[in-house]
Amino acid sequence: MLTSEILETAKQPEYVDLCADCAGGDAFIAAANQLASQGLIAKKFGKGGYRWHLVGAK
Amino acid sequence: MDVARIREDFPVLKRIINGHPLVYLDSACMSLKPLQVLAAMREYYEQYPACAGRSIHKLGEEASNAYSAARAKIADFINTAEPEECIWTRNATESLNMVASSVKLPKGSKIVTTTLEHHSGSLPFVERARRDGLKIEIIEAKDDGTFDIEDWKRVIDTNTSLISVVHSSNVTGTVAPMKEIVEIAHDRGALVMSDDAQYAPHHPLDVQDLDVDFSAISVHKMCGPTGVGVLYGKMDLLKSMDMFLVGGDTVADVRYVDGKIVPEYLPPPEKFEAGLQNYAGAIGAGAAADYLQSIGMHNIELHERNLLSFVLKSLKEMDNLTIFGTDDISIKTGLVAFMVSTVNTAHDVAGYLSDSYGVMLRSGAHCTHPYHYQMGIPPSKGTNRASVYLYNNRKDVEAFIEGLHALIEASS
Repeated sequence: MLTSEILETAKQPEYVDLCADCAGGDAFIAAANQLASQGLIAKKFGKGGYRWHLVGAK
Repeated sequence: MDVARIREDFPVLKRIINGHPLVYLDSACMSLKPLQVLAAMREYYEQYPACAGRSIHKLGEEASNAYSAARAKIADFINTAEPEECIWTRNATESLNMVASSVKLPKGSKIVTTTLEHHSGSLPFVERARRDGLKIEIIEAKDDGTFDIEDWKRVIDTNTSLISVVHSSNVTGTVAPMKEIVEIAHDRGALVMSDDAQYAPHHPLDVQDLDVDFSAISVHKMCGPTGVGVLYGKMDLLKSMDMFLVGGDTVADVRYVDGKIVPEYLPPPEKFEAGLQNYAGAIGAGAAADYLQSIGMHNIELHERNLLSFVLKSLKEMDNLTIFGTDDISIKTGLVAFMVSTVNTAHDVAGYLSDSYGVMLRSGAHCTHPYHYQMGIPPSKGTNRASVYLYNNRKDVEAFIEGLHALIEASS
């Protein structure tokens, strides 16, 4: 998923309790980068921006 | 101005980030700290780490002297009538809240602010209006971040008690016509609170010449430590304000009379500085003011405008990029906000430039959501902001532009 798609998804009502500071997205990016540094997810830059995926997922 | 020499004062600039020399273009959020500021703070902790204004021993005396000297340096930096008109706070946000919370405003009067304010410049006054049932009216900035002075003449009326206006926008970089606004406000009997968080670090600031009633400064944006701010206020206004925080150090005496505790408060600045203060931070702030003044604020302003011209020229030559804020360098602080159309969110632009080029810039809505909504930009999409300061050079800008070209190619 693109960063923008994740941010849009995170704003949906079902994720409101999970996602703090989702209006600006800063907190999501910080958290995602932490997960990436732990090797749990990875990102690749391309058309439209970064695409994020679970490590090991196709 | 010898930028190569100045860069030697900032050890962080020697860092290599992801294989690239650090290019720091986020000073509008947080400035870097020179050795001179670090040394002053270290000296306090190493040589005289005592309470100022309380302990009468030798270390206490030295701490008191350094603390007072720091206040005088800040007062000189913004040219107040007396040092006691400078109140130490945690940041500009606290300074703005202090005024919003404690200044006396007539019942039923009106507060005026703008769509361009940092949330810290609008929300304290929105909440004050809500608390006391005051009216609040919002002046809309033009898309380029400038104002139509006729709007100020129309909106500020004789029922207006206070204006909160950002002197230099943290998103468009535009400098408000403060003297004209103050003249209009005072003509109608209103006070002016100037948010100088972005202005003070980058331009010569003379609060007496501008005749603003209050000014808020964040020291971390002017080469000083984090967690230190300043509120400037005209002495008669500071004296008339309600207390903000009370407790130790705010009182001349607290008597116990007929079963009651009766405080007798000190005049400003102590009136507003409750509890043990951030002495090291204040001393660092004084050192930062000394440092900037040793280089010269006019020189810094000129240097930034030269760099900004180069940034703007380079960005304008690029496709797939929208620039926000006026082109008029004479009314602009050294920052530029922009949006890249080939990338869906500004965070990805900042991430790519950091990961691939060691370029640090800001992404998001910069605590100015109303302006972004006014421009039709959802905060989650946001804008990018590159900001320059005295230690940046042409090479920094070239690396930034090179990274942007690569980003646009990779994302198209």
